[in-house]
Amino acid sequence: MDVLTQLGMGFQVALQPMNLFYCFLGCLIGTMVGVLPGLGPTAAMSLLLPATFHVPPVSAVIMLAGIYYGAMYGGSTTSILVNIPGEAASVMTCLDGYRMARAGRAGAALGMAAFGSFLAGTVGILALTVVAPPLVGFALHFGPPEYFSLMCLGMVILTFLSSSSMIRALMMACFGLIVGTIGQDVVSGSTRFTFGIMELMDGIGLIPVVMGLFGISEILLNLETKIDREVFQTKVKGLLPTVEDWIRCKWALVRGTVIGFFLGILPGGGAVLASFVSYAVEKKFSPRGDQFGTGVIEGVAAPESANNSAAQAAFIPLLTLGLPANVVMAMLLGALIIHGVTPGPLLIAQHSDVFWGVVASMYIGNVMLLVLNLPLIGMWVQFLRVPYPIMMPLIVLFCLVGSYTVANSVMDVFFMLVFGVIGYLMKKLKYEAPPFILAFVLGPLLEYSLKQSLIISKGSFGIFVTRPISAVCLAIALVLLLIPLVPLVGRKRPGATLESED
Amino acid sequence: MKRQYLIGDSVWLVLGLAVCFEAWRLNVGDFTRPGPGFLPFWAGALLALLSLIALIQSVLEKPKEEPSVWAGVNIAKLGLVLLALLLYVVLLNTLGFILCTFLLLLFLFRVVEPYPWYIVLLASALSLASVYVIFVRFLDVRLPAGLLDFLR
Repeated sequence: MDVLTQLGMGFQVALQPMNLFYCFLGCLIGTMVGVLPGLGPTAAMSLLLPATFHVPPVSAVIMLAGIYYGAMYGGSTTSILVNIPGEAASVMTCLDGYRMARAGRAGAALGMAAFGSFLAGTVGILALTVVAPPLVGFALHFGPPEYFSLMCLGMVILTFLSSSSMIRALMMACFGLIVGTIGQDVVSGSTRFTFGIMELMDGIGLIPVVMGLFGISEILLNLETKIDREVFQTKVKGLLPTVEDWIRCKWALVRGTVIGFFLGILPGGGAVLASFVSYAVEKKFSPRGDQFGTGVIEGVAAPESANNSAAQAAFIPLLTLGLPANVVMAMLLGALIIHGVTPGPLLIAQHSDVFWGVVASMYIGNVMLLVLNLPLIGMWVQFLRVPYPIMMPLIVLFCLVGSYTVANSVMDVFFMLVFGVIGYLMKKLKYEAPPFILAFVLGPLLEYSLKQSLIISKGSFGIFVTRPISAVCLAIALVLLLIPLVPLVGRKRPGATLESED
Repeated sequence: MKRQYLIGDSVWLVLGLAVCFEAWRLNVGDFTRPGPGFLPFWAGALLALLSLIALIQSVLEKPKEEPSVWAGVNIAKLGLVLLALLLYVVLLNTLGFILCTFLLLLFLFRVVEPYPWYIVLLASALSLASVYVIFVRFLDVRLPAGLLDFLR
């Protein structure tokens, strides 16, 4: 069957009333958490994961995916109107977007952000539709050594991009691997690091860890700062950018989309990285590059298109290889596994309704988001006026209920608190959470493929360098590890200014 | 940052070594037949090694005049919130979800900004009711009933 027939089948799934509803719900919630600073897509997805337990896997993934790409839309609104990024991938949009709003062009900035997001998102899904199925054939050649090396590469890239010290980011990855081994060893059946606590036998769940690290820790951090959100007081009118704006932005949109797509596929990459790189590239190539930061519309179009196409592209490694490229995809991996769908090369063949249904829902979701974000912009601005002291208890409440309902266990709530405190201390002392989460999620898979490889090779590490795909991955990882040791280049790590993706 | 890193990196170093020790006890195995302690051992060893490098870097780094990261932290407020959350966990099964959550919400709505009590009561009741309706009525989630069990 060719792609079009398959996609047609996907639309049949996605257009079922229930799936349409979940798609809409995901987009709505995504836009909301995107608009609200301090609550990112990762936290929102972990909050809602337990709520998807009793719906079919397609609907669950459709909704969770909607939250992710919806947040990419919503984040720009806060950036433009309040000069606070609604979520990490919109940091760059603040620079020119807010300036435009000050100059009375808030409408054009919001419009360009929404249209740019829509165009790039749609192109991203088109590319996903075309690229993913052939990639599966390639992925079938992946054995344990390839998986191991690719996972190592992903973790190295993420630590390479970390905003603080790379050594400490690597330390967090090690810590993640260690926490991932808590519980029963699948191969030998012996229990590890459980300290006699029954609840630790199955390991610590992803949800309590993520909610603690990204939800509770943020609450604790915000206790000390008074949060003032001054919504820019202006009538948002004329949401359609002018013809001149479009002509100026066309190359920014194209470049943003392409850059976003490739950085989105990259293990360890994702929307945050894409928006930073795309802004920097645009600044260099645009004829008005020297005016960037003063309120030029290209400065909004480039990062907004990049973060949306990256958000779509990030699904490719997850759905073809079963490897999450970033923290958000790790959440989706967890969701799929809970629903009994194992992501990997066989996903498209075994669960074609899940794959094509989700892909088709993304086309629909992008249209929904355009409608949600343009005419309803006033509603989202109202949302920003809800004071933080009111929001805070609600976020805590959702974290508590969410972590409890995963396994109906008070112990999980306790683990969430523990990781909340760990996350708070990590944030305070500038140790990064994303490498920890990625390593924590990949840990069991990494351990399995490492052991398998060593058993195949009878204990020789040669297996990792004699197989070409694996050797290339490890070589790239090694180069990235060595770069910080070269003093001059090391200072210019792109991630030096990067915020973490939560 | 220097002093914080000295403490932080030392903690990680100790943790890495402790993990190595425990993993050794679990049986590391060898490369041909890796045991259950294999990955934890090497991850722990790497963690310890990296922390040691980071620690040496911090020691060699010249101290800079920087405001402490703990400046502006309201220890009392932080402690109270953590204590409240901990109490919530301890009492959840005995007091039940509704009672326990209501008390916690009353506290949380007051702690950041001292709103008048009638607002606090109203906000707590409203948010509790909506969460209860969404999760228990629509999503069929079971939450501990505790003291209010007789209401069912």
